[in-house]
Amino acid sequence: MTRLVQSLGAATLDQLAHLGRMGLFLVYMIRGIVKPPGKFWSVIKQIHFIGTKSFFVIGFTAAFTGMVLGLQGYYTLSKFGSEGLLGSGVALSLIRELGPVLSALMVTGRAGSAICAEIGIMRIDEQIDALECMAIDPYSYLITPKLLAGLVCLPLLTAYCDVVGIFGGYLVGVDLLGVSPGAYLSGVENSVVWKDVYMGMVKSLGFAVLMIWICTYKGFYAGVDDGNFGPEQVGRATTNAVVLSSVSILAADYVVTSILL
Amino acid sequence: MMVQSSPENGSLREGIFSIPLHGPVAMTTVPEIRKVLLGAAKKRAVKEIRIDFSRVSKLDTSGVAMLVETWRGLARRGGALRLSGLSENAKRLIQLARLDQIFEIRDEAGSRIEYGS
Amino acid sequence: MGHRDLIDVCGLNSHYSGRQVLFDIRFGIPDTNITVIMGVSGCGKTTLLRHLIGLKRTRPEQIMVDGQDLGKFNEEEMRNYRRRLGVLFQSGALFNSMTVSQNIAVPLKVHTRLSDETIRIMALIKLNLLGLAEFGAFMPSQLSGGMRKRAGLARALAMDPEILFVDEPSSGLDPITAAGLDRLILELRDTLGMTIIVVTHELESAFRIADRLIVMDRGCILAAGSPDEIRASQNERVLQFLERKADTAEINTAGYLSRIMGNEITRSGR
Ligand SMILES: Nc1ncnc2c1ncn2[C@@H]1O[C@H](COP(=O)(O)OP(=O)(O)OP(=O)(O)O)[C@@H](O)[C@H]1O
Ligand SMILES: [Mg+2]
Repeated sequence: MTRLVQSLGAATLDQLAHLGRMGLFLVYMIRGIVKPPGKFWSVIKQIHFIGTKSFFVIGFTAAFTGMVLGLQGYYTLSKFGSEGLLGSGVALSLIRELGPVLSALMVTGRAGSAICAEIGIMRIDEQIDALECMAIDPYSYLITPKLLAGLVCLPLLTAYCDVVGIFGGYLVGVDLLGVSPGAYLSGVENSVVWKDVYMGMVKSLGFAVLMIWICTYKGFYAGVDDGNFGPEQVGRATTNAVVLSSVSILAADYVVTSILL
Repeated sequence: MMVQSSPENGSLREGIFSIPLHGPVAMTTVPEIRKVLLGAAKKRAVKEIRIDFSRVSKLDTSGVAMLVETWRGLARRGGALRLSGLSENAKRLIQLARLDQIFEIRDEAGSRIEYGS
Repeated sequence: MGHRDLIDVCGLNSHYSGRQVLFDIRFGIPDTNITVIMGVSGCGKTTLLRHLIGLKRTRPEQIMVDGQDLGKFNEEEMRNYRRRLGVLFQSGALFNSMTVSQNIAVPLKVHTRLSDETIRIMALIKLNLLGLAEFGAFMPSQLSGGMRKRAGLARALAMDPEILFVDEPSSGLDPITAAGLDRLILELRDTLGMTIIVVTHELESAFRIADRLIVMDRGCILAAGSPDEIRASQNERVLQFLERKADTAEINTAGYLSRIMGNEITRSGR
């Protein structure tokens, strides 16, 4: 019995230590914004990386999501004879919820996992140690540019996702099911207000921080706790990073929505 | 032979730009010195650059790289780079970089130094 | 020796998750000298190096640098100390997303305001020192193991460091290249006045370059002194090491047998 309590306590302390370390990691990552070295070009490079990795996959996801929304929305709304609301329904769900969440999940899967693996490899190959030995702050040099790139990329990708999704809904609703184009577009125009866009953007910024934070953290500490720097640690870290980021994004989505609504 | 002027700005006389350097010629100081030297190497009137190292306290690889750049700028137009007053360590650094062939290194007496292999 | 000690290791103990791997290590590293650390595989040489470069946390009063306590360095002091270091890791640790030249340029770009062209020439000079002048545009993955080691050394030299740490520079090198590396290390001491700490298994190379030799065994220092002093040593393990005799396997038979029987024991205890 005392054994059980003891191991429970140890596990709790362990988790607390991890949380503390994660918090510190976030602080260092943000502190890196004001610390040398200059990061203009490395941020540009990272934006390119995240953008090219995620552009097409987000396009596809958004198009099909928009089309499904159009289909589902049409049948639900037609029960009440209010097909005219299809435009606002699709636009609102995309801009407020699906756009930010889907983009964040896709970026996590494509770019986040790659970022985690990249940093994990640098860890197990002593490259991060090498940076430290050159008196270069690995947070500021390596992690912060990815954070800044994420903050630039995700809102843009979210906006792109919203637009493609709304167009997908248009394709199904108007071209396939015969909603009048004017009704669809004016529905979009009239129902979406500044607050909805604002909510979507706040979410995408928050998700960007969350995703980069978790993915870089997991890579940065790949193998550190086990004292084992084998290549399998990178794979494990990457899987963990993707799962944890995705879950956190969904949880954070609920929290942000309930606060902002 | 050398007209003393402010140490950062050398003097130009009959196509020969002479400049005495002092203090460390190292990573912290090279960006400024480089501007002066490359500026001189670009000038059409300059046929030869003579750098006096006798008051230089330290030369590191960035300094050597800067000398290479200066020499390159001159050599394109058939000019020459002459170094004098180099300390033993500085000479050895240039040798270590296998660049002793391309600069003319003179000791205090002004004669060309021969290196045994 | 007439040199002051730049780094003084005074009673260093080190653990990996409870298991002690270094036991009360004491020695001094004189400046502008080459100190060679030798010892069988797994005796703790790399661990010792990681303490000396501040990568593994050191308790206070176990390592002194210029009379300052490395264990008590704050972030700023550690950064200033590391600006003076060049480190070659056992694995080379080249950044695999950059070419060899870009690798060498990293510390120069971060720490200096030198122009790109100056940096390019500096990188070329460093590569040429290590016989890699043609390979600047190669990615690390396109190099052989020994070339990667040498490229790592070129990067360690990028900032003309005052103190150079090299972990097994000549492992994976042929005798000719290794001899060239030895000569380079001597030249670096003589021309740039570097303080150099080399970890190596190569006996010949060790005796050729060392001003001071340190022989380690199982986390302890067996012998330390000038090459002549080490040669004259009467210590059995040192002799065994110098004469390249294999272990007689008796040393840990008891532990081995008891492991076969299924009893876990740890040599150093907890
Ligand atoms: N990250 C680590 N976690 C746990 N134990 C470690 C770790 N790194 C090294 N050790 C242990 O510390 C001891 C010394 O290792 P170290 O790497 O310092 O040896 P070494 O002398 O450099 O060996 P080699 O010559 O093979 O490189 C070994 O027993 C090793 O098992
Ligand atoms: Mg080792």
